[in-house]
Amino acid sequence: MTGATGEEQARPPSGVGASTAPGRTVPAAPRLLSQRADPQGLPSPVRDADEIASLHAKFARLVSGAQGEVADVAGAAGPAGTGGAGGVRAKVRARVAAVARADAGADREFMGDLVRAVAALAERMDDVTSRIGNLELLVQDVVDRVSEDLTRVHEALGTLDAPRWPDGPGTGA
Amino acid sequence: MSGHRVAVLTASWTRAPGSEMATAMRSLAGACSRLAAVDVYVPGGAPVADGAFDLRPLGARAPHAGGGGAKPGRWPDPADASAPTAPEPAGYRAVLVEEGDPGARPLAAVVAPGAAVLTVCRSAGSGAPALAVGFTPDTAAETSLPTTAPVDRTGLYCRVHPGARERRHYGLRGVPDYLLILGDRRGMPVPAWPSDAVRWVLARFARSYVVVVEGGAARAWRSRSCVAEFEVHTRMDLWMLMARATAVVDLLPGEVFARECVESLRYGVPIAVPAGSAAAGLARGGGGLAFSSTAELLSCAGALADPATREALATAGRALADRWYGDPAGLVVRLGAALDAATPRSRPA
Repeated sequence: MTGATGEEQARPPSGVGASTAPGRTVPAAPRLLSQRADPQGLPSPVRDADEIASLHAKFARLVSGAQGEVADVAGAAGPAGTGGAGGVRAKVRARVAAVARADAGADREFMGDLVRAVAALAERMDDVTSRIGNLELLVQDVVDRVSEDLTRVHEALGTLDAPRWPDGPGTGA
Repeated sequence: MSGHRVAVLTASWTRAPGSEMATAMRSLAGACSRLAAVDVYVPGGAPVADGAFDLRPLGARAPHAGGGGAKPGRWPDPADASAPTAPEPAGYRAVLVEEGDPGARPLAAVVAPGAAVLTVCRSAGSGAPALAVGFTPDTAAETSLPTTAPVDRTGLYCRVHPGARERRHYGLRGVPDYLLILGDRRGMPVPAWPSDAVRWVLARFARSYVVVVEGGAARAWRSRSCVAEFEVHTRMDLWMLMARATAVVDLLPGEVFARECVESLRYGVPIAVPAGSAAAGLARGGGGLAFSSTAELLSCAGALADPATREALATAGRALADRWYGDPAGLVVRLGAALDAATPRSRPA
């Protein structure tokens, strides 16, 4: 698509017409737009995008998997109250598991916040996209109605000029 | 006056081969060839084999000739036409010359002495026996015009590709139904783009798609903005655009028979044309509407947006165009009748 920007700018603005007859001013033809006024198709919602859906699914798997790991680690610690070397190892394992559980919990909390933030951004973006789509429709409607009204007014006022249409036969040369 | 030959004196055939007059002369020469032997004479230059006809230059200076001749593209003086390069009289029955070509008629008397001279014209009123290739409906007002010579309405054969209806032009992309505006004419300066009349139409019908063909390029418009642009390279491109349009507005129809309007009607697409143009007869004949001002142009475009009106005009216009411009056998019959009327006593047995 090419706009008519350069050519349009060289023309007088609408309403400033050229006089073709004494005492009568003919309105200049309406100018055209340099950008498309018809709305393009809106992009699909970001919330439904594969990337967002995948992010949620992976996080859900991660959370459920982490809970399983914690259970396994706790189970491996053995029954409480056993003495000897096994008891020391069990205490160490339990301590390590507790530390790991604390770190994993912080990570999951952070990732959960991140996922929720991404979801919120996606929702906001979809809302903005929808509003832009509505504005594009409104702009087109305004352009259409103003254009129609403009010509109707000129028709009603009888100010449209009668151009000289060629009407004679030519020589064919 | 005798013989079965027909001479065609045409300057536009070589000078402006794409013009409507050249197209008309080619069509008539082809139809004449079904009735008689045809010799096509062109001004100056060298003999040219041009499709079905060998063009015979009049006034071309022969290498051994000392005098006579003419500049290429110009008819020679009638006195020079009888020089050694002039054709021998061949018993011509009739001579066809172009309207608006004053140099051809005097030569006709030299090339074909005694033959009937028929002027190929747009419509009646030239004051001489004529073949009118432009369409003018029979109305009381027009038939009452004083004429000093018989004018036979022959029409032409105007070919269109039937496959254009079935195809969609690649440049239209997602453009649905549209009004087609033809904004220029071959041989005339391309108007400022887009012309004022087009701008008014684009503003008045901002909700509709409008495709404008000007200067060999097509642009699709919606809401006063360009939504698609592509070049119109071939006649097939134009036919595809015509055949799919809801209606065709021709701001500058051809000066002889309004070829694009005829083609549109043959596709069953109604037209809107300037009153007084060569296409106005087609509109008055039922194929469309005529306008004489921008306001009337907008009214015509609005009327053509009505499906019922469009359908009625399309049906009548197609029947008219097929009869006068889509029937080669009918053209031969009409032309034969015109030749018989012009040369009743030379009719071959």
